[in-house]
Amino acid sequence: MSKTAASHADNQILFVGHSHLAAIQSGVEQIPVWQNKFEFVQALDPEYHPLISNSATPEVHANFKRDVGEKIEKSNAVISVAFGNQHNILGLLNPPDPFEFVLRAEPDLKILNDRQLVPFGIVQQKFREMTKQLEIFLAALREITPDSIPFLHLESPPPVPSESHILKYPGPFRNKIQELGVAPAELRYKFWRAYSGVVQDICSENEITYLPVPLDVMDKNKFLKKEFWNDDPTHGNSNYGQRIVQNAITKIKILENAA
Amino acid sequence: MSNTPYSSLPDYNFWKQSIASLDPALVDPVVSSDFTISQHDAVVTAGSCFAQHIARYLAKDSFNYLVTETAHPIATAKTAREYGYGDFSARYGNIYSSRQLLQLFDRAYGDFVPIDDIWTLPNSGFADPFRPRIQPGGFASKEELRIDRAQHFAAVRSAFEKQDVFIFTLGLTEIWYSSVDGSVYPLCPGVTAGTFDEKIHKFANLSVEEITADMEAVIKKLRSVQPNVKIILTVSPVPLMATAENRHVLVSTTYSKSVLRVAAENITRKLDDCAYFPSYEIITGSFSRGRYFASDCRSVMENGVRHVMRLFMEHYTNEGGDTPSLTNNTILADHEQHVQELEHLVSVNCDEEVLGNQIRAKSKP
Repeated sequence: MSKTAASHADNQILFVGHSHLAAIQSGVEQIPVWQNKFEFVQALDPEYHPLISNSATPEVHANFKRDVGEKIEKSNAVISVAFGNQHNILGLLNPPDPFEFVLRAEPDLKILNDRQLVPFGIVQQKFREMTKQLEIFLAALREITPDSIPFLHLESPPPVPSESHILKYPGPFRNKIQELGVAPAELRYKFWRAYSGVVQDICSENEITYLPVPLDVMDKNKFLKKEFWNDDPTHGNSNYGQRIVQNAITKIKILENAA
Repeated sequence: MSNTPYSSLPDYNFWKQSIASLDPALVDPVVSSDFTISQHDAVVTAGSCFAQHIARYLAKDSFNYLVTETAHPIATAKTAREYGYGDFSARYGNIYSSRQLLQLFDRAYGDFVPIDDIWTLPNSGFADPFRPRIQPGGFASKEELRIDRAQHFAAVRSAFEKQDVFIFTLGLTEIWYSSVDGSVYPLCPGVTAGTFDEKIHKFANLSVEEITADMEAVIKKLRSVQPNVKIILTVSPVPLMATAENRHVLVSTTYSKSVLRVAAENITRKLDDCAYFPSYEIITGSFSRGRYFASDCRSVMENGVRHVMRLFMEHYTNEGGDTPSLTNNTILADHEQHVQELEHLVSVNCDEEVLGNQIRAKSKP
């Protein structure tokens, strides 16, 4: 399926994805020794719109595949941070019909009693439905990435525990927050974990290494530590980006040594 | 020829006129109904698997099929069905026996709490002994099961208290119960979940008298919370999958269906606003020559269900009226709109993040 790896003399790591790329990019820019070690392809670039065609047999935009393909030739690893905010569609705010669920992996987390309890399998199924584009995206990347180099997909950043932070930096959610309110932190955590589980499955099906966020970016309750909060409700900051890059480099070395 | 009691009887009293000389599709053993259901009447269904067909048709034909335990709108229709939503008015799964129905009422109102509370599954999940197949893969924790059960019982109470018509399909006479407290299982423990313990789990084959008494008791209870509820009883035409009696399954099937049919007759003769609808006769009657059964001679084919429901609609319902089932569609549309709005906002948030990053990069010396 994958073509043979070209020369990796330039020793670059290629990052592709959506908005979570911003934290990584700005983090990398602050480290002098990291300059020219990384390449980035931003999938939100208008040139790639729509990234996934809206047809009976959806495909990734040809220009995106072309540009990524060219950069892969010079890379010794590919890292995806695409579609990393899907969980916030369901979980950032209270929906008009609020619901709660039990995470199968962490069943002892608090259950909110003031909302409908939905079977976890239904939440998983919903995320599976919402990740169709991610599946197509990752499958296409897998196709053009040589088996000989590591291919990672990074977990989305953990949720910010602070509701007041989200209220202070609501971004485009301002009006909706006033209407619906921010979802309880415990629930936002569950949505993040549930989404991560579904993405991990997709990675496994496509033989892509799924890299969870490092433990040290999380507080004792597994929320994003304050030093990594961005001035918006859903992304990490440049410090977070740096830590994520370090973690990815470590993982790539482990994979290369194991190969 | 002299006059006899048969002389003035209508055609439907005679086999030749009502069966032998008719196209099978035109056979109508219902004849008349004691009452009709309007499209505003809230209809609740329960019973064995054949009752699911009735529910399906009522919902499809815009009747006020009352579902008090609905799937959250994030669930697709397919997923909701996998989790037992909408098969019946609440998520109780198949209720095969009169004793199980009586027990459901008592449990929903807190009058009976079985000792057998939760079963642990081999995959480390948990099952409800009285709804063992309701949650694919089982519940993640005991607490989830208990909260879900409380939610379920609230939905059952709501259905019983809001219903105008209760349709119950009697399915089985053979039951498995706990000798400890008499609680009745829908399936023999160990079949899909739980562990069979011969010291505790006992078999019984309910008699006509027992089923009649169960149904009388449960209808009395239903009318204690909704005095005007009308009852329609049917007997499932689906043969037994297996019998625990030491005899051929066909013999047990005949016995079981006969007992259920007699019990239904007893009840409808005794109680007001309680009717028997002959779906059993429509499906199993010799006039259809078995064509309403699939190749396994057990599953009911869609053409048979259509025959049943055509007659049900013809005799028990009024034409016209509103389409109350649109309410669910409205809920789904509202949720879909919410998801689309949030998708847009997340997308804007992501665009802003990327844009912000580009601006930061450009502003650097």
